[in-house]
Amino acid sequence: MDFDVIVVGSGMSGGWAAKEFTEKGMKTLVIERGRHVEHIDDYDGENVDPWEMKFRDKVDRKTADSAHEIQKQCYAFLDSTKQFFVDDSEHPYSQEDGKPFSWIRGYHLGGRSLTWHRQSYRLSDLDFEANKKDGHGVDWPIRYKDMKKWYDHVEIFAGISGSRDGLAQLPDGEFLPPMEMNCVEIELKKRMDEKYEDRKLIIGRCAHLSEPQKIHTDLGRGTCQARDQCQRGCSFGAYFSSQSATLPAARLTENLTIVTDSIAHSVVYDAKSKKATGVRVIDAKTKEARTYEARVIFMCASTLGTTQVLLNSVSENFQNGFANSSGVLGHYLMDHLYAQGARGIMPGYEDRYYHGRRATGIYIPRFKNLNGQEEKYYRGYGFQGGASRKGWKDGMNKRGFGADYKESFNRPGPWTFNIAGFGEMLPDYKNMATLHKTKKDQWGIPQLHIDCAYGENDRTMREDIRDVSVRMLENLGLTDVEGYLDESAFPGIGIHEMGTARMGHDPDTSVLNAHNQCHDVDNVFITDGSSMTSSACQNPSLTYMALTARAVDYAVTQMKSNVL
Amino acid sequence: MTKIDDQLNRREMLKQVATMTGGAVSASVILGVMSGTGFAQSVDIKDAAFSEAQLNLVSEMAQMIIPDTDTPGAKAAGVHDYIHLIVSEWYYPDEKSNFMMGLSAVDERSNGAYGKDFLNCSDTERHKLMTDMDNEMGEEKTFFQEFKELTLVGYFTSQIGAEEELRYEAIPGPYEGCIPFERVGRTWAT
Repeated sequence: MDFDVIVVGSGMSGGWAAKEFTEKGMKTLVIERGRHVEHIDDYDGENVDPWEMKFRDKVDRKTADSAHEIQKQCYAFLDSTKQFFVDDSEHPYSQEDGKPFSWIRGYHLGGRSLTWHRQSYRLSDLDFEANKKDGHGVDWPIRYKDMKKWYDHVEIFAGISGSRDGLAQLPDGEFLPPMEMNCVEIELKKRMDEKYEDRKLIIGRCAHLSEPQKIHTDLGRGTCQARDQCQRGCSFGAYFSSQSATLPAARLTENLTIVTDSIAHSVVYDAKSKKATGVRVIDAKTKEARTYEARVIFMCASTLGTTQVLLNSVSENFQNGFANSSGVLGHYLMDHLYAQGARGIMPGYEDRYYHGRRATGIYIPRFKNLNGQEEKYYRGYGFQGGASRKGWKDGMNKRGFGADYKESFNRPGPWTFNIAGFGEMLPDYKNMATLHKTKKDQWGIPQLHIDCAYGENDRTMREDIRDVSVRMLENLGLTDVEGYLDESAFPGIGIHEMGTARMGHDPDTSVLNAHNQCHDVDNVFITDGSSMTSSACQNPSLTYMALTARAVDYAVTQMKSNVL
Repeated sequence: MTKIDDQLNRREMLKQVATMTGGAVSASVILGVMSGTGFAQSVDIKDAAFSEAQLNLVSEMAQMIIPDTDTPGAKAAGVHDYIHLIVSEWYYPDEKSNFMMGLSAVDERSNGAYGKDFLNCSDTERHKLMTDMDNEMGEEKTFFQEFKELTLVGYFTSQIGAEEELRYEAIPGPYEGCIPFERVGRTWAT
């Protein structure tokens, strides 16, 4: 046996699995399909000013159009960050006709932990009980009480900045000091309290070190410098990533081995012992296959990545994919409803400004369907947003030229406030990822075929998000309020894909039990987004971290008592 | 930490040059002195779309949109090179030919009005021509609107535009949410 544990993937979940296992004394191998990315040294886009980039931080359009047809849809895909997004022409996948799905991803050590938006929110029992209450999806096999201590655990280590707001639907955590609100946000928070009993405007909780603690500085991490260029990588280690936090912690134990450029092909199953024995990988460069063995396997390759590997792990016992006796592997794919909200102008405050580019915004936690089914749709949504002053980019179509015209740009414009809803998408069997019957990638692995679309509940909620946000901004005293709903938006672009190997009580209707352990094969665990039984409406990464740490704790107990 | 050191060194160097010259020399002069040390990116344009005369025309028009004031204008910021780059390399053939037609139409317009090319017109004549173009409205974006957009982007993402005309900080340090505008004094470039 080569290792105690194999972790497939090195991003948000994989980094946590590596840290927790190695700190508990387990010899751990992390398998990463992409290239190595060294903290600091490989942040090529960092500390580059706009004028030092040929197209001023836009990706050369012809390259983007030919090689990044999907990735270019992501707001964070820039000249300074493009090395952390895949070349779509190298990594094709298939989409159902008429149902586009944007699969935004990066294949490199650290995965999307380098490029995430860092918003960090706990789920509550409103979320864990939702499926059971309204009958969509199976019941989560866990509740908030099972997760609380693990949320605490991951927040303390990751460093989450936020305010304690005392909201049942968005539990408080172990926070570092909150980022400051700007003048207009402070005023709007006050007005929100005055106008609405059920709504709160809070500062965005984010994985940034506002005030590093010893646990952070010991790893060389420092204070956030308000550059808001996080997706380039951060040499200060000020936001949480595998590179800044979990992998360095794991390395300190000397129990960690990482192999990069190693594409997981399949999980190897031994029918006699009814256990997985290892992971078969294909070398990304030489295309040669090899197998690593371990007692326990953690799948942390991202929702769709893990799903692809498991669907490709066929054997006599599992002809439809690994640990898939339920037949639900690949189904119930969810994202968050995205691209709907409102914006408006806040009169006044023209003598006020801010210093720095705050790497978080404001958040308006969910306020719909909190006390039972009150709306014509199920579940709810939260808003991310913020206030800022208009700058030169907002004056592009101004009339004029000459000295006065030039100088009109050096005074900032009025304050604007925008909010964008993130809605819960219901789990639906029809939304699924399968392996394409004929198309393969250059390593001979069948391409993923994605068939996913918003459903009726999702569309109704999107319209409500727009209408409610318009009314809310008007009530808060904003002028020139405009709602928006991008009809052309489709799933995937929320970059919160999840649900394809869900947890549940019943092995007939779910892949994983309450410990993220496969019902069918007890030494394989899945702790990335594919394990999510419902999507809630909060940004999910913090929950993946907590689920991972919790599952590792369980697995190690089982390993130490030789059950595994 | 090489890259940070490099940047700090460059900033330190800029500060020293400013001190040595008693602060009497404008930053653009310093930038000229510093060019070749990584400050001014010399742009190597593939399949150059403009003739020398066309580049001159673009440069003069951009300078009229963003002239020298208390800070240097478009010409010093190399906006013409930026526009040249975008038209040559960023634009697809149809966009490029639309732009080139629009540029030719500037001289056609000046010849129609004054019997000479734009660059041979007096300041007053040029101003009248630019005003006419600025006042034109179309269903689609007019050439002049497109030209102004390119000029604004080229200028405000240049070092002169971002650091002198506006305010720019690469590493702002801890965020402060609510401060008097005077402490910043001008619009943030980013």
